[in-house]
Amino acid sequence: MLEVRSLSKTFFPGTPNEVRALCDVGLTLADGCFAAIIGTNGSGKSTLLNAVAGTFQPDAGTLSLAGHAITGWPEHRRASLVGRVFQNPFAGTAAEMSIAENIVLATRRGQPRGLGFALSRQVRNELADRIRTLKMGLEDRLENPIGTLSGGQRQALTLLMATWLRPKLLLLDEHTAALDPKSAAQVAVLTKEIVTREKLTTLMVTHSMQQAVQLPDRIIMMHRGRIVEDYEGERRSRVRTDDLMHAFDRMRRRDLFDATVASTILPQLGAPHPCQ
Amino acid sequence: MKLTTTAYPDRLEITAEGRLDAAWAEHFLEATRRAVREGHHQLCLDASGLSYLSSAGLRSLLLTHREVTAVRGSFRIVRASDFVVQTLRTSGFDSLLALSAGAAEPEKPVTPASPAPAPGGWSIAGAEVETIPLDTAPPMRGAHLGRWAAWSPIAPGACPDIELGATQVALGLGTPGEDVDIRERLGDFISVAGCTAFLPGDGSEAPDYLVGTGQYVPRLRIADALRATGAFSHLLRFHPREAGAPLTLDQVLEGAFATTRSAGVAAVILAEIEGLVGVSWARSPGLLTADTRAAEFPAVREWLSFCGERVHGGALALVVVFASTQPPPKGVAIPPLPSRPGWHVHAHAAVFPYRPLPNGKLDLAVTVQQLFAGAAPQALLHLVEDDRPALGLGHSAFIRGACWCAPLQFSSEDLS
Amino acid sequence: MTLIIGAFTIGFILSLLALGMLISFRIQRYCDITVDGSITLGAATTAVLLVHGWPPWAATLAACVAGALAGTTTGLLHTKFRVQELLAGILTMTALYSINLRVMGRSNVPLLDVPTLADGPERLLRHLTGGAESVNVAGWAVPTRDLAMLLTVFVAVACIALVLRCFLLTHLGTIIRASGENPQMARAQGADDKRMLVFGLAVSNGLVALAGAMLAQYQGFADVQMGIGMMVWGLASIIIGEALTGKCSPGLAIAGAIMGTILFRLLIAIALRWGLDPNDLKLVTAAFVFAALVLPQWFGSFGRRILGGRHHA
Repeated sequence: MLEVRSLSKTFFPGTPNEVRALCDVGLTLADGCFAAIIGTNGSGKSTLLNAVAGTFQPDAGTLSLAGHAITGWPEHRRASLVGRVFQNPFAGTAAEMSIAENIVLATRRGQPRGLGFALSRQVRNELADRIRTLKMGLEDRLENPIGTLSGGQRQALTLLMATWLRPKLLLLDEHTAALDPKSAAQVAVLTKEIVTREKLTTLMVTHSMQQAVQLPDRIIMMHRGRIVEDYEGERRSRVRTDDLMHAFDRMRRRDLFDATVASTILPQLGAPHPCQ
Repeated sequence: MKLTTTAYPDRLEITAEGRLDAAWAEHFLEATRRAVREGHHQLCLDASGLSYLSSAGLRSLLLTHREVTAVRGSFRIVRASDFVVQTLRTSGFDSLLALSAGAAEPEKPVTPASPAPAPGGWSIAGAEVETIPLDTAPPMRGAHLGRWAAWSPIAPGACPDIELGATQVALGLGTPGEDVDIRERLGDFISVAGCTAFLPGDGSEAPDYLVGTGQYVPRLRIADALRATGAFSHLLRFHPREAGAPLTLDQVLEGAFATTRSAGVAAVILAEIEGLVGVSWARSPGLLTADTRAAEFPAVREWLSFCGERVHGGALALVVVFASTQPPPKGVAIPPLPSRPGWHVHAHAAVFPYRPLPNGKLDLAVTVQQLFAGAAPQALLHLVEDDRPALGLGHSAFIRGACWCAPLQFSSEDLS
Repeated sequence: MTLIIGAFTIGFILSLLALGMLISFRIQRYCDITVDGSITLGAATTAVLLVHGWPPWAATLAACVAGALAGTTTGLLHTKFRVQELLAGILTMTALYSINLRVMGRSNVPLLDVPTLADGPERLLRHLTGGAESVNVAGWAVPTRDLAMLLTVFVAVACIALVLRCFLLTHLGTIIRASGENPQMARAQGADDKRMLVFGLAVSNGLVALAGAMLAQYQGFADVQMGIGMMVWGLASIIIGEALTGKCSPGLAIAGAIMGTILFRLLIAIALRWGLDPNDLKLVTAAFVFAALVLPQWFGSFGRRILGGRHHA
């Protein structure tokens, strides 16, 4: 279970570029829940994900994951509990190292790494067996540098790496955004498959309304560093992409509703009743 | 395919040259639909240059035919080549053919000059306005029901259950329901000719609606409503002249005031939208409590949703307006219109997908019932004027349409 | 023949430098300038300890440790104090200049009549050859001492290369390689990329200092100026090595770096023989490295293979 309590973060405080990226964000993600975060650019959705991943320290608030208070943990320590897939297919793998070497790294995610040889024949066979489940034919190319693969293949492998050891939390940061539509769809299907099979607690940031409606159990909408909508349970089941677009539209309209608007429209609505 | 259009006094002639097949059928349909939208309901296809007609092309001709007949227009095919005649005959669509094929029609195309405005009619620069007198019935009787003092808490007990029948137009704040706690669901509504559209204040995006048929008459629990009963006295049909500007809501109302020669009018506008400016309830005002300071910025943003830009351009609006150039009588609250000193206007608009309206005289009840039968309303707004200098969105405005209007008298019996 | 033996001996010694730089430049993708200082530090430490009567192996080991400390310093400056990577190296290198002078007490320590690492093998050779002053190799008389030195450094380099290769293929070695190429990914896999960097720089500079220690014992002196330009020489060796073997696997890269160093020394030996002014050597080396870095870019994608780069795309 992931618990985020009143998390706040301001970037460049006290400068003209000050950005209140997170304002008092609270979120509880139950075990096995697949949640998507959507929001406009700069809404703080990626910032929230990075805060959970430990890329930066929040100004205020606490994080706890699977019973551990992880607020002060550095990024690499959180990796023992958290699997991650990044937006950039190049970010999740080491391009010049072979597929096998990349994956063998993931088999020890967050564990002490000894001086034993990383790749024995037996390990290789195990890797090949599991890579075969991707049905991409990569099991025969274990020795190829991972940089020779397409973005979609790399994302699929990164996803496999992130879930190789069952993480307490899987973080997906717009992991299909940089792919061509076909690969994006493939990776999305694979994501759903793995998350469902392993019953992973998952937090996914996405730009795609369609993905947000199709994949997760829960949809969280952020705007200006706050959670503004949280579609869960019954409400979630009837959400369509149109509803999400409308919700975005409401946010945008709300931003346009300033004090000058209020002063011009309120007299047109609030005429006091002459009888009272 | 090449399409050229020429306007004659009695029709718009479309000359098509080339192949009307699957590749061009959509293009052709778009052209005819545009013509219909611009008010040309008598269409004529000069098929002399048509070299080929496929089934897809045939379908586009049929659709055009169906669409113009729906607005009491006509669609004829003239000067068709043998091949086209043959194709139409064999497929059984030859009723479309005007067999006056090639009749010498030496008349010159004209730029459609409108007949002079009817005597006593109202006119405005930039727009063609046709005034059609309807019943010479007594003025409509108006009533202010509910008596909600804006922004005050609403007691469910103080919300009467009212009937919204075929001879009534109404707008206000209400919701259907007898036993449920209506406080969570109050929102704006309009009712015209027994058809009621309302936007529940529970965060719903799309309005819901009730259509009165036969014995059934929609009823609403209302916190606040203006209702007028009776028949409309005039119908105004308006559309822009060449390069004319769209008519703003206050301009249409000016017409209504002038036509009815009355200081108070009830009006229904059904028109293609240039842009609407309005607000809707983001939360039900029934949830207001005595200590909610909702009518202040920024708390008001939690309660009201402002459109933020001119919205729903190109769609069709059904607007109910209660307007007066004099202070409304005691017991009636109509808010002032900022840019017109002395004017008081309360208007709600329901937005529907666009569909063409027949020209000329229109029956309100039939038209509105067809409208509700065709598609569900997409939005419902309380129209406001945004008169902020420079930034302001201005008035809601309409491109072409109809405005039914009648003098309005607030009767004392309804006040009791 | 002496020339060739010398080139090979120096080549093997400097291939330790190349291996060290292989770790920092290629695996960690860290442009580490400490090298110029730590090689002198290795030489100085060994020289002084030998003069004070330490056994050669202990003196050499101490040099290694000193080099590792220098590398750690650079690493910590960069990771803990966020000093830019070049500047961190420059700071350590500059500080090392004074430290080296302090260690040696003067600018030059000659090693006359002190035991060196080659003493053991030399005794062994003499024992095998019956005490001959020189050994006949392919028709050339080679001084036993030179041959012993060559054997010593060869064995040392071979052992270290083997250990290094095995290490890079372990779990720890794999994550170190990954953290150099993609620190973000390494962190996501639970590795502290900063600690990896510090550790890598320590190993790297340890090896460089080892090269310095051996160089001092081979040349018979340690000089405070001897480190100048060593980094560029090492880089040239690595570039030649990559051209020879590519850099597909750690094993090949290691072999390439060693072969590259030897080839480079041979080329220099030949150039000097043909009358190149020794004073121009560093200019020529710099020009060579420049050409190796820039020319491939002009010829397109091949440049990326040579240049690598910390943020590889």
